[in-house]
Amino acid sequence: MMATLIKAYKAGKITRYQIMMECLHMIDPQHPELVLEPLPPEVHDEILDYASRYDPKKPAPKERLVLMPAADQVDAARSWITKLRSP
Amino acid sequence: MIAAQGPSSNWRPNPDGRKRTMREAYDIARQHGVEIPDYVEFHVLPKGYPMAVNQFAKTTEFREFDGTVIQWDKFLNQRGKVPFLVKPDVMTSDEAIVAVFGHEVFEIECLRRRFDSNAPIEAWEAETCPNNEGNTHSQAWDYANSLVARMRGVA
Repeated sequence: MMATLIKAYKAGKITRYQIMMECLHMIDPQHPELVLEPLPPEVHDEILDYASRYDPKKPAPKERLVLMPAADQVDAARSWITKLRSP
Repeated sequence: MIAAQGPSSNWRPNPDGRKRTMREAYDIARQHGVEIPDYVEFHVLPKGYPMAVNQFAKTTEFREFDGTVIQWDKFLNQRGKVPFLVKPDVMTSDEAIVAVFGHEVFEIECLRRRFDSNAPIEAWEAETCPNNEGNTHSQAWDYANSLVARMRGVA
C-alpha cells in the first residue's frame, strides 16, 4: 500500500494532502516509522502542519461521517518526525 | 425540483465492451460538451488504491475540525493541477465517462470559485456532501445526467 501511495503521489495522481491523510490513518502508534520512513520530507511537513492544527476538542464535521485520524496516530507521527529532525 | 444525488439511470456499457484509454476518454467527454479546464487532470485509479463502492471518481477529501480554513493549493498536486482518480469500470462506458468527467468538472469549477480566496471546511462539507439537496454536488449530478440524456437524444 505504501508503494502504491508514494508512486501515485510522485506521478501527481494524488495531492500531498491526500497522501498525508491516507498515511495518518495507517499509522500504528507503536510503530509509526513503518508508515513514515518511506515518505518524502514535504509529506512530513504536511503531517506536522496538520498536527499543529489538530485539536480533538474542536467539533468534528457534521455534514457526513468523516473519519478523522485518531489523536494517538497524529501524536505518534508528530513525535517521530520531530525526533527525526532534531539534531 | 429535487436535485439529483447520483446517476438518473444505468450507464450503457460500450457495445463492443471496449475499454477507453484516458486520451480517448478526454476526447469523448469533450465531444459531448464537457469543457475540461487546464488545471484538472484525470487518472485511472491505481490498482490497490482504496475507493468506496459507491464512488466513481475521487480527489482530495478534507478531514478537518470545524473552523479550519482550506486553501485552494491543498486541492493541487505537484504540477499545480487538481487530480481526479477514476474507477477503471468507468472507462468501459462512454456514457459513464461523460457523466463522471462532467460531474467532477462542474463540481470543481464551483469549488474553485469558492476556494480561490480560501474558505472554511464547513463550506467544503456543505458543497460536496451527497445528502445536501441543491448543493454543488447535487447540481453536478443534474448536469451530468443532462449530458447523458443529450447523448441518448432525449434532452
